[in-house]
Amino acid sequence: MTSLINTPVSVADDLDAFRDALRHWLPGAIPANWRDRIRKGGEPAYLDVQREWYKALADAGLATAHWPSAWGGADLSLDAQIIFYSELARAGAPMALLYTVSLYHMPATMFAYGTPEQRDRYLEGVRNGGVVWCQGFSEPGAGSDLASLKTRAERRGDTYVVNGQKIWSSSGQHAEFCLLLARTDPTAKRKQEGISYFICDLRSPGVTVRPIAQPTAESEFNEIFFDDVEIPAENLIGEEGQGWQIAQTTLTTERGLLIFECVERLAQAYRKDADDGRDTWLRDPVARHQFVTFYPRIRAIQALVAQLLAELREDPHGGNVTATYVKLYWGPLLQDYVQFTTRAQGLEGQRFTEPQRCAGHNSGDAFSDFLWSYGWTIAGGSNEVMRNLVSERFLGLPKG
Amino acid sequence: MDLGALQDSIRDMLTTECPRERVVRHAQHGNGIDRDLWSKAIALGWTMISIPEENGGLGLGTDALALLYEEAGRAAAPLPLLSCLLAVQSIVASASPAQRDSWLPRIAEGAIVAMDAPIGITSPGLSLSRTGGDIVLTGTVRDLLDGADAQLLLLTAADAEGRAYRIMLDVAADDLTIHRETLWDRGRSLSNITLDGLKLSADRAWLTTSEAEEALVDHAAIALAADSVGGQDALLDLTIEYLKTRQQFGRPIGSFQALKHRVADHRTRLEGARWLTRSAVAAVTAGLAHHATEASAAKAQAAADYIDLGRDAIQLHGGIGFTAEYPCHVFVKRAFLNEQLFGSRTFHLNRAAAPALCGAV
Ligand SMILES: Cc1cc2nc3c(=O)[nH]c(=O)nc-3n(C[C@H](O)[C@H](O)[C@H](O)COP(=O)(O)OP(=O)(O)OC[C@H]3O[C@@H](n4cnc5c(N)ncnc54)[C@H](O)[C@@H]3O)c2cc1C
Repeated sequence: MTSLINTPVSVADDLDAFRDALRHWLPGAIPANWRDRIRKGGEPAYLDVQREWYKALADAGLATAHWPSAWGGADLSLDAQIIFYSELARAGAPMALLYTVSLYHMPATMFAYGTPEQRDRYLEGVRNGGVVWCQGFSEPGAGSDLASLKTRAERRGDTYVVNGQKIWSSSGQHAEFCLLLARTDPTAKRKQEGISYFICDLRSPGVTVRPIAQPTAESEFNEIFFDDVEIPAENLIGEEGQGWQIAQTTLTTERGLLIFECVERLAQAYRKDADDGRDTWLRDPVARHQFVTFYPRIRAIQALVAQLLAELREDPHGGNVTATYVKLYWGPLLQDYVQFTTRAQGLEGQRFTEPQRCAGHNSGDAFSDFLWSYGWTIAGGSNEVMRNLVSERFLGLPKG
Repeated sequence: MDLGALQDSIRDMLTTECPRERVVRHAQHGNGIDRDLWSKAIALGWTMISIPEENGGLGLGTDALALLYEEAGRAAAPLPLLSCLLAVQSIVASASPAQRDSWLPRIAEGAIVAMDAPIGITSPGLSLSRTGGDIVLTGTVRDLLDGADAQLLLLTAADAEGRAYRIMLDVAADDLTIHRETLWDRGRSLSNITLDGLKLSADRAWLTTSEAEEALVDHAAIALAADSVGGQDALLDLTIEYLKTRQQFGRPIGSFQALKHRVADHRTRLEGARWLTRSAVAAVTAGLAHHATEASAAKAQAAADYIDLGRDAIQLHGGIGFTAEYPCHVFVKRAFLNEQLFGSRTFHLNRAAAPALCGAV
């Protein structure tokens, strides 16, 4: 019971005490040898590590501490969040990758559009039950042009019957629930208007999930097939036809808040790479010059993220514009950086490394990190789509 | 010899025997050389191309080899061509007639030879001493390309007087165990080998010269440049085809100027790399004074262009580019490895610019 006094969350108002408490708590809480376990044990070991880690975080009230208090989080201050994420990185903690949608996309969506019943049930499921969610937006024919999606949901009495296919759903093979966009009105004038947003229980009859092999020797994303899948009408989020608008909220979170932890991990990795390279590859003047040019870019993305958080505190529904800049700054920066470290490591950087899975985007396995950086330049609105958004919506340039 | 016909025949064979599905499957489930494909290449005499006529080969030069490398790069073929053909060159340039007669036929029959990087890129990893009529080798050779697939190893060694040698090791006869280091590029692998007083008959060694080793650097540089050019050609074609067929927003994505301009830039850079590589091939084939500069310039530039295209190719494909079942990643992995093999980017840039920096241009 003594530990209760100094749980990190209980002292989060005092930054020094918070940092100390985290440093005290983390070594015992991080699943021991998790990298080795995953490298040797593959997918099952990855799942074990994720569950253990999530339980440790949840027991300490830290799993959802980054949630705004409006979502039922601990409402950590910006400075406390920075400390939290950098201490996680510093201690070599895994990322709670399996729970990404559970911790970001789902609560953001629920908070803005969920009914009180939905909110209570599903937020609680994540907070204390570690329920895994995935995002079922993209389809084979609807990626950047998401609004052209074809998966159909037909109302029949108290249920919707869903038919169609989703693709690229991260963690879909482990998820209990899916945030699902489907077309309820194929006759709507604008394609955006006929879309609705559902909570789909993936254990329902008619759902088939097939993992897709990736160049990193992982299969983190999936195809999901829907064959006459019944969704109770109470699982509609918002109104029928409001799906497109709600999806923007989900995507804003993906473009902004989700990047915060990643940015702090990059900042930590930069310091570590400087230490590791000091006596080896950083001796090369060309590599050194390239390396130092990343410093201001990393500071800039940190400052941008801080600005986004400040805006979100003012208005939990806001931050759209800044989130777009965050996404478009972050993806290319990360990709440039991990491409640079890959090349700077020479032949060493070309040796295959068994996946660590949840070591973040600056795991030290540079080439794996490079491949994973496409998660940020393609997914959730590609660089090109973000550029269209900036130039056409924000800068008022004519549509091409 | 009609080189155009040679190139066509190589391309035909790889199109039939090494299609994309095969390369993609190898990238997921294979490791190192594709042995069945290698048998077919041997049956067609690909290792004979540069073996002298008096040893039963075609006796062709760098220009012919460059075509072979370009086609292998286009197919992203998991073949040990570079290792074996470098070995042929070393043997022809420096070995005694008796040594040629014992090793060239084995290579012609399909024995895979792994070569360590020429002296100049690294210094010899082995030290050589003599007892009686034998030589004794000690030391470690790092990053031996294709080592785990090889039956023969052609390594560098130095003796106490600083003389440099090439030594032929026979993996089976000399009882060597070679551990494979898996790479991201599954078509190739590296090995480290440590010898602790391995005693061999003296006829396994021959003296090598810095000119001979420099010529091997040129050869490797041209091979990797040509492989990168072929790979870029294939990957760019694949990407352009995708931009033409993939529809979003009711039109082919290739109709978006933002994407069009990028492939136009990549095509432009590829044309530069292609003609620079041909110029390097011509310089080396004719023994022109600037052969080293030109070969290293081609290697550094073509490999960097290939990486830049590769990075964009995945991006321009969207999600499908990030799957193991689609070929993009095979080329991208090959591009990154090409840049590091047989001399880093920095090494080749410095070698390329050395005359300019010395005011010798
Ligand atoms: C690692 C990863 C994880 C993912 N996880 C999920 C997930 O959990 N759930 C989910 O629903 N989806 C997920 N996705 C899918 C992702 O959101 C889509 O890949 C993305 O929207 C792009 O769609 P697409 O793959 O069909 O590519 P396309 O839309 O076909 O794009 C191909 C290329 O064309 C470009 N392009 C398209 N339109 C334009 C335009 N108007 N102007 C200029 N260029 C254009 C794109 O930028 C891209 O370069 C994931 C993707 C990846 C890579």
